[in-house]
Amino acid sequence: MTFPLRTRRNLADQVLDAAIEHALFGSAPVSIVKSPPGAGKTFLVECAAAVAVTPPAGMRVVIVTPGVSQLYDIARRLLQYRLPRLELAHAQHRVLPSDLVGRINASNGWNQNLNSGPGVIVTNAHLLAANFHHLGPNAFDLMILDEAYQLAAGDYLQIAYMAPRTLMVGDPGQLHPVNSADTTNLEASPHKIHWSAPAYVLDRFSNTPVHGLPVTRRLLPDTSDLVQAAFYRDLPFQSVVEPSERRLRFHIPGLERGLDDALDAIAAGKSLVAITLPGAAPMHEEADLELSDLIACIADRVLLRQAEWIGERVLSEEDIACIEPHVIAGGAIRDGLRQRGRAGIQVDTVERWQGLQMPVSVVRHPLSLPNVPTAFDLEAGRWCVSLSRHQIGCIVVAREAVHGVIDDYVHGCDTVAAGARDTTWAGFEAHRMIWNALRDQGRVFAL
Amino acid sequence: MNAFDDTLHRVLARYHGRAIPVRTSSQLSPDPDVTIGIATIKIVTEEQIQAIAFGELDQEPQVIVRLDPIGRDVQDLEPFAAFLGDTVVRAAAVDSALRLWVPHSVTLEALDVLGHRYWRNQTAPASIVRMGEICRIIAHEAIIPGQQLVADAAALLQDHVVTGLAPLEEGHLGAILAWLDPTVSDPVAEARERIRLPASGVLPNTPDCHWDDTIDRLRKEMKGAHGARRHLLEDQIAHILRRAVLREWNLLIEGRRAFLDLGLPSSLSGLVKDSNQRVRDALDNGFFPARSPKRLVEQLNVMEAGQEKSELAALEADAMLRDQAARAGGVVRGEVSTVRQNKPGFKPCDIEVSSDQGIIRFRLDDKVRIVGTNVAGVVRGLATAPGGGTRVCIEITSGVRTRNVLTAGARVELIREPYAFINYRSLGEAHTQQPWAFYSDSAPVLPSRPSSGQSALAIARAMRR
Amino acid sequence: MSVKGTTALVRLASNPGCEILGAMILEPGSEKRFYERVVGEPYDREFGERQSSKRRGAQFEQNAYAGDARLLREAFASHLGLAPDDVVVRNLLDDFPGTKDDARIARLSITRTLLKDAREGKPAPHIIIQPQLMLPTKPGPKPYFFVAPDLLILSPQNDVYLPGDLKSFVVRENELSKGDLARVRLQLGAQLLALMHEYDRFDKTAIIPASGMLVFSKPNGLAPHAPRIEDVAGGVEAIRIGIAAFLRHRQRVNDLRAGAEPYTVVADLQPHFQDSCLNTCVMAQWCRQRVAEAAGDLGDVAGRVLGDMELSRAFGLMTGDIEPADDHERLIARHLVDLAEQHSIERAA
Repeated sequence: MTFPLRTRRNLADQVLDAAIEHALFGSAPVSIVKSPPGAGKTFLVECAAAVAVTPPAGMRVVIVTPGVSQLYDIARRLLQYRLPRLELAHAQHRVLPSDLVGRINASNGWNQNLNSGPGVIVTNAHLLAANFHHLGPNAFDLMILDEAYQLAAGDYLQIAYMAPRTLMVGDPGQLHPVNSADTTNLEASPHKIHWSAPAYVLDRFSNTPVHGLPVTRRLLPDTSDLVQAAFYRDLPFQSVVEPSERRLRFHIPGLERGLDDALDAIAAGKSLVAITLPGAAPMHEEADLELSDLIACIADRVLLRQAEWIGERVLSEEDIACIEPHVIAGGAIRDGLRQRGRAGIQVDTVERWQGLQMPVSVVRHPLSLPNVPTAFDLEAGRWCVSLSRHQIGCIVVAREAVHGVIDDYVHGCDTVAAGARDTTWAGFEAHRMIWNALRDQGRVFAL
Repeated sequence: MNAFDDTLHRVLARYHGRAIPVRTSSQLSPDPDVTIGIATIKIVTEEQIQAIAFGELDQEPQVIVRLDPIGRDVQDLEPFAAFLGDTVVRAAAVDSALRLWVPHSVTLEALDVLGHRYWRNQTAPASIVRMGEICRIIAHEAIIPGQQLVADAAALLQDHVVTGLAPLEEGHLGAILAWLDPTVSDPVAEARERIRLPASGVLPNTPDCHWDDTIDRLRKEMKGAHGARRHLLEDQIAHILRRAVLREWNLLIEGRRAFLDLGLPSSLSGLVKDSNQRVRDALDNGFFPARSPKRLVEQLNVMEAGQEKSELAALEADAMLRDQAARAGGVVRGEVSTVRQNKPGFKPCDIEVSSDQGIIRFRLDDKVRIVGTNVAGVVRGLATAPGGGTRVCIEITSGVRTRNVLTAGARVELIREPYAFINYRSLGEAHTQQPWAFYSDSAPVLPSRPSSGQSALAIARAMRR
Repeated sequence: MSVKGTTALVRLASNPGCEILGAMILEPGSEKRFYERVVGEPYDREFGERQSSKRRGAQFEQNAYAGDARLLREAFASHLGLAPDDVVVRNLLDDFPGTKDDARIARLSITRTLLKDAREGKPAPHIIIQPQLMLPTKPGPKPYFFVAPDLLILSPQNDVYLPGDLKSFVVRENELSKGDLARVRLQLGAQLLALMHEYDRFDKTAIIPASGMLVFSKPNGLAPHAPRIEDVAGGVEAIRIGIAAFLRHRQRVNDLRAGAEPYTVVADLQPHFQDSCLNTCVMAQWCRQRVAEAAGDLGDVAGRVLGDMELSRAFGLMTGDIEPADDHERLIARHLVDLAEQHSIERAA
């Protein structure tokens, strides 16, 4: 490891230590840790739990996750530690994944035998709220909110009193809680309960201690620099990835100009590239079938050319992520993959990719659409998640018309409520910055 | 509907010269026994009502014209206040739900502003205060998705039909009605002519119909006038306002009739019950806008639950909507391929549904329902079929006796159950506990605890297996 | 159209592609007058602000400015971190009232002095009422726009002022129509851009946050709501785009008119009709004639879906009277036929 990388990693470790020290032993009842993609957020949660249950702390810790899949993942990670107590509580109708059966004390709902003495229980906010009558104020000594930016303040309200100390850990640049109802009036309220829990607390208590993890251990430097500049202006971070450890090699040379040029660029060390298809997305279909097929083709091509993660393995279907914001287009991509015998490559929406990582991702550009971009299309969080899953290479796929969509965009100023932060504009600025950088650096390959 | 489908419908509507329905079910339940209408004319920007027409929809409306709407005297509003109060009492007496028809959303806004001005007005008579409260209750219920209290004629028509106009033009109730009137031979020209005069609860002010300027001038004159001259001016003002508000009332009547003539069925008993309950509670116990964190969360949850339930109700009732949802995986159509049930009519019962759809939005442990039945269950397995379809395994939790569906070969449609649970008790407890982050202006200072002095990383490393 | 105020800038930002709008801005006089000169007929619809709106706007401002702007001081005290009585207000209308050019210029001069004083740490008011700013678009005719926010509010963080506007329309909780929201944000955007130009004249290091403030009226009487801080970075850029468009349109109009009045060359200019024009522009009906028989007549979305296809052609494709000329038309025809059959069958039943 180079000296600068080691220095950055050491700094990151210091920040992690300080954050945990303040959260567990300091005088502030809430601490927030802002964690860029791949910073080691879950590792911080593990460390915090380990310190919390160890003497002299000896705390009863609850780790709250927004959804059930994160709950099981955290449980798996914590099983790597010798904790005095490790428990899991999930909803009545849930079935424990088979790999956890017999390894962890799991409860459907709450029971009185849980949470006894120093140790950790992993659960989610709804379950705690549903069992408030079993719990009470300060039922726990420490509450750790994992993926805290995905937990709405309204959900946090129902569990906040259950612990005197709360450590909120999450990624502020990614998707925030989704509201299906109209929250216009809430933007003028002193209680923005539709915001994420950390955002709500910071809005009301601006002196809440905030620690920012200064590194990403997932993203290579070129992607990291772009993602940080576009989505994390208030959270400086750098890559601590040794580029030589994230190199791709294709055993089969490329023949198709444009498409293989982009893949070769990744092999040459550019971790973020784009491929454009001529024309514009057709208006008459719910999915751009030609583009979807191209995405399937690219994913297939990576494997056809026998991509190898040097020093690790030859890539397989499980190593490629196809990220498509729209469900119907995702179905078209899956059809394309199936026709190519690649049914094992996972295709999903951005929401479902949040929290995951893959060596290679193929992403449909959200603005490669026939219509004028909407607030949904421009949302920064969605784009940030799409561009921050990959450990080695990300290929953004778009229609050529996306150049014009970005260059000709005029902001309508009417997508967010009065007094609200204009996240639509922030999203557009991120789009423009990223696309212009790709263009300027010769990373856009036209077919 | 996506942009392409919307465009094609408009082309078809333009060709035929008639509005084209885009729903096969209604998002409004049938009018209950106590159904009334209100139309208003307001002063622009002042948001003061200067004329109201109100009453039952099969009768001539009562009309109030306000000569001095900005003044403090509210006596002229008494008949409206009495009517609202009596309507509420009548509905309670016959145990009927309440329904209010308005021509468009501007009427609702006007009522809400009226409500804001009088519901806590300490100098106004009790009847006016009660009127204000009822107006606020109406306006508040109107924002909850799936509500059944307020029928906004313009919005209902826009949601259920497409015309050969641009969408923006359909916001004018008179314009959209031109497409639903078989006696109109050229709906494009007729609609665009109608658009010249506003249908938004304000006085027209075009060069050929400058009622707003006229009223303004007459009121100015009236201030310094006396005796017969004053009476004449008052009559002139009243005449214009009456004409204007009756024009709005007639739009309301015609809009309602046009909507009902679509003849769309509805199946909204759950939404009706929820809406009635909310309105009844507010009318009986008072209206209290949400300000505390707990109330705000409750209100947001009520709106989200309403959204989920109304989407589900629409899907269940409307095959056209189910078609669209199926393309996006929100509805799964397939055939029951396997039934595992030890004893017919009893649990445990698991089924497998084979679908051609490659796109399915269900996840493991999702609660689902079979459309048109009382059968519900939990998704326990999802597998992709070799040909590109999907197999969904469902543990049936209710409706196990419904044999015609729980049988191999039965064609079914699956939808996800709405998540509409609101944990009022938990919220109540949170309110009792008053967590500082929500209920205090300052954060507490915790006593510092002694740490181990070791780095967190070192501790964690030592604990790894 | 007048260059006093932000109306023209907001319109340009909302539709930068419209050359007709450019001509209208260059033409002296009102928009209705422009219409009448182009079309040759009186304008037959309502246009412009109603008397009740103007009156209420004036009353709202009067109320807000009364008693040394007591209501404003109370409204902004919390934002400024001061007690209301400690908030210092300077009302430039007291010095130079009126809308005549010399009064504007005088207020501009005072405004510039106050901006500079605050940056230099000299005593400066926390709130300036009726300041005047200028946004340059020289060289060429109409070389500047006069921009007059209702207020400038001193930012507690960095000694720069931010623009603020009083809006007399009633806001109950936070409901505003999209149209109103867009308009008031673009107005703030124009004011902020003008402010940036003013600061740039004497202090290029000044960092102006992309924020403005809006004060709406409560439903009861003329009481102001607490100010809302608006994020207007997008609005500033939209105004920049609008100004760039104006410069282009001005050049084109000047090239065509050879000294004649701008309205005389309207027929040679390219409109950019869109749905929103129907609610905002006197020329909407006239420009619409250009798409009268085309898909655009069904709205912006239909125009994008079907391109510049004539409606009669679309009907012909549907009835089979016209053969599709390409794949796109074949697809449209197929879908239209399916849809027509679906509805015919239903009607027949």
